[in-house]
Amino acid sequence: MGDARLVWGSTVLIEAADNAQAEMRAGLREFVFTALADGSNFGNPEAVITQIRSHLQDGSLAGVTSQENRQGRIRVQAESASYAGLAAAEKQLAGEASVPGYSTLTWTPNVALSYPTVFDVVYATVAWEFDDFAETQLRRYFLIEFELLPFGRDAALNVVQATTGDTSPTTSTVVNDGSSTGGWASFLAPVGTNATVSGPTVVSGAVRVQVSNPGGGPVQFGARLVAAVDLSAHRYITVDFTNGALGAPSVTVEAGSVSAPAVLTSEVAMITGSARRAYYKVPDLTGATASAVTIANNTFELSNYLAIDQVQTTNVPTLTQGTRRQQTRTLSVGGSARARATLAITAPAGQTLGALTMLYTRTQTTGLQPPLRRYRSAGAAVTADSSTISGARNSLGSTDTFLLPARLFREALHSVVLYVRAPTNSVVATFTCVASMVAANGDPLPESAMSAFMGTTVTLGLANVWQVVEAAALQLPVVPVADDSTNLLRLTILCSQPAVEIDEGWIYDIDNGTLTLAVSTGLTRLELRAAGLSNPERSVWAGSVDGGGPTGLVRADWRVVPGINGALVGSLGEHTVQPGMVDIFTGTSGTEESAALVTYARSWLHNAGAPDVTDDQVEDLIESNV
Amino acid sequence: MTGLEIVVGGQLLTTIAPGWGEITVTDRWGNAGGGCWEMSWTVPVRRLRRHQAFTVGAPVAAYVGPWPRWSGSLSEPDWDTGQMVAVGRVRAAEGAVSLDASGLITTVADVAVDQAVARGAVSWTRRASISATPLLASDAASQLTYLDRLLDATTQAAGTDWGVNAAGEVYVTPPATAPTMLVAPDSGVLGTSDTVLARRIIGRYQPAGGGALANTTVGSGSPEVGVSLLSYGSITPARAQEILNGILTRIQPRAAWTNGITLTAPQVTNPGGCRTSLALIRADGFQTARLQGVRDIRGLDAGTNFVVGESVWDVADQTVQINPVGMVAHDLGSIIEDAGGVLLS
Repeated sequence: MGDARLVWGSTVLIEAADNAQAEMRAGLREFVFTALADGSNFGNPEAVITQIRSHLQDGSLAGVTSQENRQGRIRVQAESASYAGLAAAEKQLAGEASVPGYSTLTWTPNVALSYPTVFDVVYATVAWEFDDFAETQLRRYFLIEFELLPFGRDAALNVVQATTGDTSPTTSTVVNDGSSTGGWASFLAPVGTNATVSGPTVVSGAVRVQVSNPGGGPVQFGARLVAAVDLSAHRYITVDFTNGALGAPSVTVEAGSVSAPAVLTSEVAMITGSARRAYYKVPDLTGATASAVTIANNTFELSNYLAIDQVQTTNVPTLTQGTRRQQTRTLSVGGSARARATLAITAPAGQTLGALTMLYTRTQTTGLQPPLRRYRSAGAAVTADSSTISGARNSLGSTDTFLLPARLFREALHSVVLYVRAPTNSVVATFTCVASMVAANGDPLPESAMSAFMGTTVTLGLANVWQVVEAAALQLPVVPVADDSTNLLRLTILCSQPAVEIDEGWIYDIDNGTLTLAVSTGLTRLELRAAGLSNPERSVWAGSVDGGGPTGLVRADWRVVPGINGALVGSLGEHTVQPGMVDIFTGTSGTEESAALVTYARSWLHNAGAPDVTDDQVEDLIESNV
Repeated sequence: MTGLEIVVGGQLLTTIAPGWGEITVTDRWGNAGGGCWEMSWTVPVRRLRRHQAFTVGAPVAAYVGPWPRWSGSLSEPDWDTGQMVAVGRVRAAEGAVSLDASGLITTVADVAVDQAVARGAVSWTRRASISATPLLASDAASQLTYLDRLLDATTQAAGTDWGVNAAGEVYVTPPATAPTMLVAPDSGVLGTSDTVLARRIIGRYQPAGGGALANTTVGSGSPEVGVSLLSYGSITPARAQEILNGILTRIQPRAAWTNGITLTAPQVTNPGGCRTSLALIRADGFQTARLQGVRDIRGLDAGTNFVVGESVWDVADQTVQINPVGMVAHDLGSIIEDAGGVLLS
């Protein structure tokens, strides 16, 4: 058993009591503090609630917008061998209360078995509680009242890197296209329950298995594909699946008698149909060829299905669209509360982020990917160009039409951003961006045509230089649709100057997400720091000298002024780092090898947990099991 | 969640004044110049600390993500309370004279705007023509000295309205017709005053070439009012008709609104039923609200449509107040005066 420990700044409020008192009696220390459970409390965060007027017939809408500080109070007993010692104890507490800057209160319920939780102290006051009997015993009681930030945190910072593409260009090989049941067998675990699996059968070009689970207990069902899978060049597997709302299936890879789970790296929605694509990192098996792949879902429901459209191997862990200058990434964030975090995007040594840097995070992802080109359905002839972000470009002289699955849109304000260039200097161009809705067969939906009130007019200054244009702010989807709708959102973009070319367009949900966009050449690292106690404003830092490292950064808010249609640019906001998976989209015009990182101390409602296991450690674990 | 970012004098407010808040964003449309009208916010007051960016006339812009929502310039900061007010670029027209390149009074809207831009009297961009022809037969006789009066008269004669948007572009547009937003039932009603202003307008004007005053009439029914258009100097019958029609559009035979309504996000949708962001609800000439379930006293419509004449977005409160066009100035005399006429007694 270990003892509890409570430390305020540099003052220990709970000692290993026996030893400390012995030291005091031996004259080795002036005083001993003991925090008392009676009258002490760490308080709780206080939710800030906003009432929202609504049309609920009964009840009312309200939301928690943030958390207010918690009020803690610790009662402390000071003991000494002399009154001078008691005065020194008081001085010690008063000193902690008046340290310049901010102190911390660190609580460890069990030094041997638990983990320290650090509370940031906004301020503290010390009150003396008079007790005549205690005075005669050379004891004094103090009540310390703390104003604390609402959440505790880890003492140490975590640095997590978002998943990223490994190599360029993206290649992939189809292992099975789901057009026949050859090689497939049903899978069910555990055996011996009442559950049964029917199939596999081929339905609409996908291998489908159906589970019947009369007991409703936890079962894992799916399909096992026996095939020689060449993993020598491709270390990732993608599975295109539909399964209602069960989420990405788990994938197990076998090589002879060895089997190991593949780690989910990302999940994206497909352009057409309702299938989703999940990416998995293949464990390091002996040999470069796998002999079988098992794809399965867990369910408690009475009946369910899993349809597998396609299985491929690939060399990237996530969807890259066109080139790897734009990537969808996933960050794994620990803790039990929203964290104050620093988000960074960096270029590798010898490269820069380029003229355009975008970092977009969102909560509650729907699978909508910002890049538009992959949703393009009509427009002028496309020229492949590997120097662009999207890998291609085309003129905007005839209307570019994009068809996006409407079910991927949450009702929110969306911003359309374009990357365009003109062949001559100082071209004044007006961009018109209109949204409407069509059914899957192309028929327009009623009440779904939105007018383009005024286009956005900008002057594209330099010839043949790609520039960012904020083209429109749109309320999307135009008409709300059901989660399984096949309706499409049609976005059209037209430019008044037919010679203007577009590389890529992006559509960002800025109600539920945050976009940071910087236009500056020569940057190697861009950091977004959340506000903290000692820096009450959030800030932007940029680096350009040391190959992307965190030293040599300078504060760059003044360079990142919003307003794209000018010179140096940006879009700013508060990026939210919630525990769980954080979805990040990055665009860097200058490099295909950018990395996205988050540096944060995990936040906890009350008590910290064990340190996070890093991805590398997970891989080591997998390897040691193989 | 992307909030509103304010930039003052090229510097992020978050950087130079952490703790800013209490933002309201006001837009106006109709009656006179519209678009971005006013924005106010507070900054924490710290003794002896006044950032140099807060100077009168400093450019101010507000963004939602990359989207410019509002722009204008700072008026006098109040350092006792930390209250800051910025006024829209449209309001510079009140202090710009309608001159042509030779420094003479002009009634050609395009020339007056371009010259005011060239002199630095207004910081606008004119993307499209407002009017390339003289409004009046004789510029020299024009009483429309200031740019706002000239643009008011020009657009009223054409049955349109003018304003300056967040990008600084001066534009004209006719009153919006089809609803762009639906307001859920039970969100509020518009109070009305049943003063019918006029159904028929008889204008008296000076025909070209001088001579006796002539009359021309628009509308039908009663009551009728007489309007003097003599301040325009000599004008053609067609021009007189245009001006009177402009007045009639503005005082359409209906009862006048006496109040607006305050809305939260769940109470407003687009015509397709999609919840709308409060940032998008603004009086910019393109927005017409439809109050569902509020019978229009003007006719048989089960809902009431009105052009948004003023929007006041309280960012912290998450509400937006929308006032109908026709509320701000609904007395006959001021409408006619705005149009350059004089109500005959």
